[in-house]
Order: sequence, then C-alpha cells, then structure tokens
Amino acid sequence: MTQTAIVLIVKDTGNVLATVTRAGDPASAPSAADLAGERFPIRDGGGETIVEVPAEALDAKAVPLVDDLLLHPQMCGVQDDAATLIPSAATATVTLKKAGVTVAAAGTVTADTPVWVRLESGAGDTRLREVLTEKIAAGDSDVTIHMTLVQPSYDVAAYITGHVPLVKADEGVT
Amino acid sequence: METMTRPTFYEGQILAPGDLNGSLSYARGGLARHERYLHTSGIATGLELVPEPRALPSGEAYVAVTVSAGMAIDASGRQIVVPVDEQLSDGLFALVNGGRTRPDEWCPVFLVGHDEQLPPAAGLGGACDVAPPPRVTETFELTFGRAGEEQELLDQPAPEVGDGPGGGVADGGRLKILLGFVQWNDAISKFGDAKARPEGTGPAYAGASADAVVARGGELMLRSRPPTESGKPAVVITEAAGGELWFGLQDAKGTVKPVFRVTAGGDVIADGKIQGAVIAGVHVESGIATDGAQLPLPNGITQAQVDAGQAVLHVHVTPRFDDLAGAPPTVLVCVADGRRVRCRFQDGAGNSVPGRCDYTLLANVSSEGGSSS
Repeated sequence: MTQTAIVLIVKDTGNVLATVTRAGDPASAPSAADLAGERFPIRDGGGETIVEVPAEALDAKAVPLVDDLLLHPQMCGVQDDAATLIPSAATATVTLKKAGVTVAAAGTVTADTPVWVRLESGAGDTRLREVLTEKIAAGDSDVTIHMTLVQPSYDVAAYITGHVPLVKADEGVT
Repeated sequence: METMTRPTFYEGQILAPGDLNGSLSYARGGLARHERYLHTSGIATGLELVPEPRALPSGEAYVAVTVSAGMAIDASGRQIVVPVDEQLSDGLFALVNGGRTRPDEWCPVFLVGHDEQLPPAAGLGGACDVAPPPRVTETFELTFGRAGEEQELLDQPAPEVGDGPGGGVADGGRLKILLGFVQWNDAISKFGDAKARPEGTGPAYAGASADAVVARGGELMLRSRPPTESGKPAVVITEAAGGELWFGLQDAKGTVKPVFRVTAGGDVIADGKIQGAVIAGVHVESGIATDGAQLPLPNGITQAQVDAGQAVLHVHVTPRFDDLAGAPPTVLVCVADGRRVRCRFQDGAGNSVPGRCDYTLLANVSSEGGSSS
C-alpha cells in the first residue's frame, strides 16, 4: 500500500471529504476539481445526497496516509499537512432561525476557528444553494451568521475546523 | 565600395603617416568585422547599474547610480571600454528627460562609444621640432532615453560590410547598448531607483553568431551563468558513456548534475516526469478511493481528451476488504458512475457510511485524436 494519500478537503476548515491513493504517482495531487467534479456529494446516514459542495470551496492535498483516512474519511481533518481523526465528541451543531444561522463548536475555542456551511432547499433547477463562511472568535463557542431564511427547512452541512461535520436533511427553521 | 587593401612595406621605406595609419585601420577594421559578424553586440563584462541609497539634507531619499567598469561591443563591432566605475549624471538625465518623466516610468540607460580627436600636446615637438601627432581617444558616454526607447535599438543602422568600428553609420557611428533602467524623481531632480530588468527587457549581453560550435575536449557546455554560480541550468553534450546529451543544474564547481539524459542509443532518462503529448495506448491508474471521489486520471490524460473521445475510460471498482476495521464490512453499494465512486458501507448502528474500494482506471488513448477502439 502506498504511504501517501490525496485528500479532498474543505478549503476553509481542513475537514476531509474523501481520500484517494494512487499506485503510480502517490505524491502528485490532482486538482480539487478533478477529484470532486463540479460538486462533491455529501450523503447522510441513509446514503442519500443531502447537499453538494462546490469544487471552488475544496482543496486537494497529498498527506501521509493514516488508516483513519480510509476507515472514516469524513471524520478526519487536515492541519499542518497531516491528517488526524477528529474526536467524535467534537461535533459541530447548527441552529437555523429566520434571522440567521448559528454554528456552535463543542466548547469554547482558543483561537479564531473557521466555519463553512452549505444550505440547500427546494428541488431541481430552482433548488436554492447558499454557502456561508465565518469564524468563531477565540474565547467564544459559537457564531451567528445573520441572514434571512425564508424556507421552512433546509438541508445543511456545517464544517468547523477540528470538528466532526454536521450533515442533516430537512433541518427546520425556528 | 573599394576592395580591401592593406599597407605593405619595403626595406628603407620612408614611412608616411598614412602608411602607419593604414596599418592601424586595417587591423581595427578586421577586428570590428569579426566582432560584428561572428558575435552579437552587447555587454562583454561588467557594466552593471549599482544603485546606492542616499538622502538629501531635507530627508528625501534618492539613489546615486554607478555603472561598474566593464566592456561592451556595439553593433558596428566597436569595443567600448569603461575603465573605472562611473556615476550616472543627474544633470544629463534632467537635460534629456527632465520634466516629462513619471516617477514610475523606467527610462533606459545607454552606453555609446565614439572617437574623440585630441589636439597635439604643446611643447612636445622633439629634436626635429616636428609637431607631435594627434591622438584619438576611444571614449564613451552614459546617456538616457525616453521610457520605451529601448524598443528602438533593433532599428539601429547597420554599417557596410567593409566598414571599421563605428564607420559608415550616421550620427558618427553612435550605436547604443542598453545597460539597464532608472526611475527619476523630478521633484528633487535625482534618480529614484535603478534596475537591470524591471520589466521584460534587460541589458543585452554579447553573444556568438555561429552555425557550428565545436568542442576540443570532448565536452560542449551551455550555461545560463558562469560556472562558479551554483544551482544554474546547463546543457552538456559529452562523450562520456558513449555520447550523451544532459540537462541539469551546475554546482559551485561548474559540474552539471544531469536530471535529463539522452543516450547515444536513443534512450531518454529523466529524473522527473515527462509531460505533454500523450502516447497512444492504454494508460493505467489504480489505488484506493473512498465514497464520493472522482477517480484521478492517469498522468498526461485530461478530462478534455475524455470528453472529446480521444481517451476512452474503463473503470473497475471492488469493495476493499482489508483488516483495518476488524470484521469485514457490510457493503451497501460499490459502483463507479463515470469516474465518481459510490461506495457505502454499513456501520454497526446500521447507518450508511463512506466506504472504500480498490479501483483500476484504464484510459485507452487513440493515436489519431478520434475514438479509440
């Protein structure tokens, strides 16, 4: 087995979406667009595609291969060019309100921590797709992104650096 | 034009000034024609612009620019020697360009060679009281042009074939050689900065005009910098190992470490990758991929080639049953949709989670740009 893996990550937060190894050229990372296509599908526990992450929000990196990248790719994060398994206790949470989206970390963060959120709603060509980016300030545990949510519910994927992502279908707006 | 002639002498001849001058002219003309037609004009050595930061008593910063000593050959084959470092003249720049130069503009600095007749020195007549002969000083000027004027250097007039250095060229043979560029601060009438190559154009260095370059020691080298500068690229044709062509970087001793070799037998040996036109045939990529990823194409194959039908893909995926997770996984689905992997396993709680698969991707590339069979 090759000792180098190519990981497709959320550019802002370092969360891994997928892992690929190459027998012929293990250290050469294709572009994120090559590995993701136009959009990378995020599936829920039922295996259905919930949201799609656009290629421009992604990055591809060559990192040392660790087993967790193959066992639990979407529970890994990349920092300083190395991938590690994120503790399951560190899970992002999201609250959707008509006036905004609140993304919470598992606890108080010690440094400014990037947040990346995908909201989708509706179906077909008219499906609404929103990308929200923010940071949880050092000393805080959450951040609210102020916006108006007009739909009764959204499919959501939320990523915070060092946290297991939250992927949920039909999250209601309160 | 007249046929070339050279003076000859005989025993007991009384030499006239024309005889001696003819000898000199013949030699100078021959050297100039050699420089002009077997070399390209430009800097042979030195002649770098060296800016030195200074400040006015009022505190405003400027640079004093010095041209280092060196030698150049102009387009007529004239050798121009700058024997000592020379400071560029603020006053001359103000005269040539002052008042019409923006601070961000880079104005060219030119070296121009020309001859100057010096009058005979008085009182040095000698025993026969004959006036001492005049001297010609082979001198030079450091002058300036407007921003962009360096583009006109290629349009400089060319001397006739038989002409000597500077001969036959209008304006007294004053052909320009580009040394670099300066910026000008009009408010204080001082130079603001100096660079050899601030944008695309830089100084011209003298070169060789040759259709054949023949080594004598069994090794021919082309270097981008002198052999003492380490890490610079070089090309070598060597008789070593039965004859090889090398490309690589040189070390501080000038030794080239090849990263690319072509042997006399036609083998191409590269330390890096060879990219570009893709060879027709089957190209293979294999490895492990997790759910959702698009499988990478083999090196050199592009999605555009796939879309155009020049490369046809054959993809095979198999759920990976390794011992990483202990018990073998329960596979919900493992397929490839084009290059995209859909591979889901069932975890202990019955959830669908991203799975992993071994993949083999074959790209069959046709040789004629159409669909491959």
